[in-house]
Amino acid sequence: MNFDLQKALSKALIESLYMVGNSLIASILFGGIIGLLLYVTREKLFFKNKIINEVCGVIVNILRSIPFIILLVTLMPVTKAIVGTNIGPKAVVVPLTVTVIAFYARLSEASFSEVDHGVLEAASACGAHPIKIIFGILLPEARVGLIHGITVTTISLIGFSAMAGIVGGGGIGDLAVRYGYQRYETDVMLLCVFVLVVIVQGIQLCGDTIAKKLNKRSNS
Amino acid sequence: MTMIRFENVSVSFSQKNRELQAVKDVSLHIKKGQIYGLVGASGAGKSTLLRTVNLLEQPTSGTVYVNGESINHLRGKALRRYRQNIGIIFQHFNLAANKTVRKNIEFPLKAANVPKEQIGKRVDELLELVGLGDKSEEYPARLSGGQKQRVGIARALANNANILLCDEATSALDPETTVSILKLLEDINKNYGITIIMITHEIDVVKMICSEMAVMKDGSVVESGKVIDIISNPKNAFTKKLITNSENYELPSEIIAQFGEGSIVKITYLGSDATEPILSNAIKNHNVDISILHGKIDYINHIPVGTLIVSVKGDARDAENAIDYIRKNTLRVEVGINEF
Repeated sequence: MNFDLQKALSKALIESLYMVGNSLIASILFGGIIGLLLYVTREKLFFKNKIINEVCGVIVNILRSIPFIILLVTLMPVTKAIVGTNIGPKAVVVPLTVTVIAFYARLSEASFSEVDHGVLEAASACGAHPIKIIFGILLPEARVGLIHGITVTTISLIGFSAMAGIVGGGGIGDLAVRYGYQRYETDVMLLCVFVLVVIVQGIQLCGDTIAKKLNKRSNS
Repeated sequence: MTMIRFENVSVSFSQKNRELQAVKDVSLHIKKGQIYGLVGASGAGKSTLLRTVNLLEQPTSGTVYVNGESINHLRGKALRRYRQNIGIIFQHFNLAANKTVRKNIEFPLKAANVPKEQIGKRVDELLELVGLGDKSEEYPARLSGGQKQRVGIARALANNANILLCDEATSALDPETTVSILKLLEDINKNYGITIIMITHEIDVVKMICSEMAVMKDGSVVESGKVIDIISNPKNAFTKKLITNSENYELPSEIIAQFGEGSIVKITYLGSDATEPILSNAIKNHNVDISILHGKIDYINHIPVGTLIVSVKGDARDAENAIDYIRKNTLRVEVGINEF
């Protein structure tokens, strides 16, 4: 082996963490808001508005249909404007976030839809302002679904970030592709894949545990 | 004094290519402090009608008056303030699953901007009222159906509602729990003078606590009035069917064959008639044999109403005279098994 694997791996881990962490925070925030917007603009109890709903829906669908690699390249000018560079992990955060915002928007919209309509109606019937219903009932009742959505989103982010190598983003996925796959260094590839499996398992476990803690639906 | 008045209220929903009229031209008066029953099969529009009172459903035409004022036009802030005075409880309770009992009851108080320091005290009062003082920190999933409905009642009354709407509030409960919830509602009605509208498909619920009722079928009211009058002497065929279905006087077929369909008579009488020896007089004076096949006493709004199913045997003319005599001295007599 002609490079320091341990060093490369820890550098890749930090890069992955940087890309995934930043994109995750941004996409939960913005994706969650867009998801909420999609939900409240189609519900009579809140702020039903067909035009806003459809415009948002179409934008989200467009973002979700563009393959990540294409987005990575087409968004370059935008990326440069936002983070000041076109290469490196920093540059990957922007397209990664854009893709995943749309992804999380749909997941959170689905979580909001799963909230029992009767419970929201009861809140409305007691004279609560829609904003109070959103913060007092909708969000707490949707929290388990939202946590599951964050888990799935995080894992997808790790998958997408493997393509970061195209713009020199680095990360574990990139290490696996460049050293392991392209240079036929099977051991490096296997090690990277193993690390990824462990990380994904860990995230899923964390997500499930938190969701279980927060779920008061069952009487256990 | 009239608390709620429906005046020619219609509600329709536009579905794909067609208009579904859920409520058709309903006019009703509901007095203040009354427990009013709204009965009908599922899909009769009773729930939709009820929901026009707090405008969860907007009337397509007609007007709903509450306390003499039309409420149809209420929107936004005015509607929210109005709704704080109207409690509603539901068949499936509709409690927030991720909130404790206390937090569920707190929500309407917070929604009404009740000062923080008063909220705790008010919740304690409400928990006391519905008998759940020790369950305040439980989550709904750990409560029984009856307890969940008690939380629903506490939540509905949190802001001192003067009207309580009950949308099939006991339909998901077992008979024993139903009785306990009805008792609680009756107490609340008596102690606080809250006007209650009960929607139900179970006529027994109406018999137990309502003083007046309306029967709905296909969106229209087919009969309305005092519960005792309607139950003991229904005018409308649908009402009659509804009442008989709940009574379930199904006689075994061998009994019907043995006595003959035509001889079987159903007698309905008020408790006060029971002191007269009517059957015994009929037997003595008209030379007939009367066998009792089935009987029971119902309490409608605390008034006893009895039902007897008997077979009257004898000479055709004697039997007719005997039945005439019974008819004159009781509330209602139906002859022939197909009649009831």
